[in-house]
Amino acid sequence: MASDDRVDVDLALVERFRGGERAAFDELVRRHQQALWRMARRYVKNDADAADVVQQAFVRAFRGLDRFRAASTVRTWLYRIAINLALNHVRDRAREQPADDDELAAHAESTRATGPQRIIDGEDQARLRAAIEALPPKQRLVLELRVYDDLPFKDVADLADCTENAAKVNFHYAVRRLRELLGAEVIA
Amino acid sequence: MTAEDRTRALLAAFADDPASLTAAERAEVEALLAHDADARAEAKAVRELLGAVRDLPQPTPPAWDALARSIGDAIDRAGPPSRWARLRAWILRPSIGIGVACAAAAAVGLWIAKRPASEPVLAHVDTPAIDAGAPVAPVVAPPRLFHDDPATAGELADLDQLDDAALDRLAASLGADPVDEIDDDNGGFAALDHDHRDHHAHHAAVAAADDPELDADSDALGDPDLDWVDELSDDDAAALTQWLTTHRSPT
Repeated sequence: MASDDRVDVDLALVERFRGGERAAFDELVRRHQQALWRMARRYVKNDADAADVVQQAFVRAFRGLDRFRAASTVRTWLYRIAINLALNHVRDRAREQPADDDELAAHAESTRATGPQRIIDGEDQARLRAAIEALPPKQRLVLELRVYDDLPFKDVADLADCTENAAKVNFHYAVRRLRELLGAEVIA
Repeated sequence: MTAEDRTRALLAAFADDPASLTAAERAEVEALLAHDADARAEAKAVRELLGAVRDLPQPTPPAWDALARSIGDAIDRAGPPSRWARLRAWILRPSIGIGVACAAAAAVGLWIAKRPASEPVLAHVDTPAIDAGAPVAPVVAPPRLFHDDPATAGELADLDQLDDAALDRLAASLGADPVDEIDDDNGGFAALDHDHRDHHAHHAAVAAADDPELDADSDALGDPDLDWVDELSDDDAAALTQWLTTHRSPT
């Protein structure tokens, strides 16, 4: 399976790095930087902050790879580091300058469509994005990790620090909450 | 979590991706969809909502090569972890931590097993003196048995070194006849056997004195002849009384 192949490749890179091969870590960066950046970008306000989060995440991973015990996959381990850094970044920024609705709208406008706009228009997209950001943190995390990162519920549960069943229930609550927030007319 | 919550949770996950469920969970949801029109409508609505979420415009990605280079530069600036950080990481590994804990527990257990047994703590009791005014008997050194170095525990005494006079004194203190000569055929134990018998008689008398079942007139103590006391002159009686006073046992 592709997933198993990815795990094996990551573990092999970790072993090579532990054997002193710095280039193996560079390969880990190339393999995972895109996913980490997209995840971080969902939380932070701009591309530069997302890049900072990813950079810090890899630096920490580099310095802490001795502590990696393969209890989870390398990808999940990297996600956990990046999620913690992103949430810390959001928390620190919220202390400095609370976000307002205009900023959320500007964020929606600044994005560029990369997929088909087959269901909802721009206004509804902004409402949907705002609704996602209004979800309780754990429900949002579970929803986004499933929808955008295609992580299996097992990995989602690991990152959300809950059981696999709890992750599925959180996913269900997130969907139900979005439907309540958006109403029936958005998804028409 | 209620049964309905669980069913709805499985339905949402199934609508997103049937492969995200176990075979048993998939079968459960498929059975529900087969006979429940509301469940089918909900699954359809969930699928459309999640499709809309997936279709949300995503931020423009950066130049990945440039990001990878900046990450490499940041790692170079940060440098490798210090030796202390590596040591700390090694110590904090669960297996190492458990090993260190087990070693510490073993060391403590060994220390407890090896330490000298503590003296039993006895409560100090002030016992009243039986006769506080009685003189204390002088400590008398045991008679010297050997001319030279005495035999130590476990050694056989060299009979040639025995001091005959000391043996006589020892025999007298035990109530036995003076030892005139050693019966070599019996290994010198003939006199000791005699002393041993007297020793047993003495112990029998003491035991009888301590035994409340036996009264003072019993044969075990014998019948001492004290008529000679009546024959003492006044001076002799006074001298005897004085002597008894000064040689009285402290007990």
